[in-house]
Amino acid sequence: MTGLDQVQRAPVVMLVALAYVTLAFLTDPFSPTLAQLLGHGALRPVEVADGEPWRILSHAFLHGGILHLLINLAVLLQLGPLLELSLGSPRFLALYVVSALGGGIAVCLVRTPLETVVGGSGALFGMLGAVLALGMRSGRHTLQFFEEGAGKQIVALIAVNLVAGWLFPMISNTAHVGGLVAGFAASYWFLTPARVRPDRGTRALQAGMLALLCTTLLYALRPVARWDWLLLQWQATTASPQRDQLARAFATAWLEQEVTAVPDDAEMEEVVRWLAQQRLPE
Amino acid sequence: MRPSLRNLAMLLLWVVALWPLALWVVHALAPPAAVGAARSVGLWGGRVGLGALGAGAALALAWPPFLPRLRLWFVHLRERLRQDPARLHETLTQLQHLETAAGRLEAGRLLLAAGRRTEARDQLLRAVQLAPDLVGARFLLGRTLRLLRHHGPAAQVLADVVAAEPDHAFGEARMELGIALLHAGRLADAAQVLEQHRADHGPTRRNGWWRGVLHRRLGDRAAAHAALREAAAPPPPGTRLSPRDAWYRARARAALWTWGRRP
Repeated sequence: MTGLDQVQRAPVVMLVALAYVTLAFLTDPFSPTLAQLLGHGALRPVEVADGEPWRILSHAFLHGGILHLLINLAVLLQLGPLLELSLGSPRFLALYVVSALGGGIAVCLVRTPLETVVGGSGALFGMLGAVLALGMRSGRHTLQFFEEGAGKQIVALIAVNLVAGWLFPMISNTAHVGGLVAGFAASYWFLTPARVRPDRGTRALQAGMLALLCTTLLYALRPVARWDWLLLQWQATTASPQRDQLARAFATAWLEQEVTAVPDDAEMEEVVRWLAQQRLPE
Repeated sequence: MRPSLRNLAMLLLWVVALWPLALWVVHALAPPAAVGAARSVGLWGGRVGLGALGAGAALALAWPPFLPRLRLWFVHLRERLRQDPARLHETLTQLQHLETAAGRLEAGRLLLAAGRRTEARDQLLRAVQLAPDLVGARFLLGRTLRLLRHHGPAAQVLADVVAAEPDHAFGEARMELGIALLHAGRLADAAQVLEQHRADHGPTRRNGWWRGVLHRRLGDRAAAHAALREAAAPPPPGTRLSPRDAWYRARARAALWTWGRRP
């Protein structure tokens, strides 16, 4: 397949690859700074909760260096065209978006609010999940795919990458697992054609998964039990009883950070300043 | 997956999906309570997970058949995942246009393999109605009824099978009949059937276990122990027991312990 054929047959993959490269040059392809990454849509749960929801998706097009970019580009260009040809461009786009959202939501729910995450690997793990789902759907039975070499290779590839993510602290395995689960679930229950008409149980399962995606996404935007969001709400609130309640809630959520009593306004202001410094780009 | 397990998984999914909504409602009423609720759930989630692991380990120590049972459960799960849903769908679709006893039997067999026992019973009943001399359908109906714990009707159906073909399914019909009779409370009949099975097909771990249970219920302690010792005998060196045999052997060993004598 020539380069032009690739663009015609897998336009979404080519657009995503183009977005990877463009954003790399807009930041710095070799070693972008934190400020550059944050300025172009890196994922940071505290920023998402502070009214920048696009970061849950935009982080999946940014990369933290040339090696990161090249590895993800290689995987995208290897796996993407085959998947796009199998699923069709609109479905492939939906898969990429849902997988990126899955990775981003997982980071917002599980990691600390000040952690910064970039990279398309969550969405790429979603594509691996989709390959698994397609294989499991296409056989005579669910497990047939694993009795063949291809199934075992995909499982081994996922396992090796998860172990690598666990060994190297700069890799966000949370985003990988979130993307993998989202990509697999979306492909298995929504994107691949089932050989039998979905029964009531399957439809209830689909509804449950859609509800889970929506509520967790909204919770990432409004995490009512997380200290950073409570602090921002405290800052924005002027009515006294509500302020006190928010301060109390913040203190309860902040307890893990070694605060043992409900802070007064001066202490809260100090934490607000500290948080603002943490969020300032370099 | 069994319908009950599937419903449980669905319930869990919906609980997790609705949890953020619950937190927002609690937050609207009292923000510290929402934080407390989230922390408690996180804390208790971890404790429940660790507790379940600990309970599993304790159960495996206190009741050794737990691990063979777990192995057997995984084997059943794998078998269900290896079922081809398209075949069942095709068979059911064909039956809408042309009803045959063989079609009903096939549908019943596939439904039973998928763990959908009530639907399997209905299909097999219809197969027997359409072809009363179809011994295979009667056998599967008897087994399904036994699995659904309708032991009296199961014994009746299986007795017809054994009368028609004494060695049907390599003695499996007679074995199923013995178990159904035992659970139906017809102990003398069960003893006769199980002894006949042993005479015809040799001692098996499954037969040994059920004869042990039977003799215990009859109050014959020595016969119960003899039967259980057969079931609990160590396998020949270099051989690995099948999951079902391992399950019966482990149960027999545990029973020999708890009933007062080691093998």
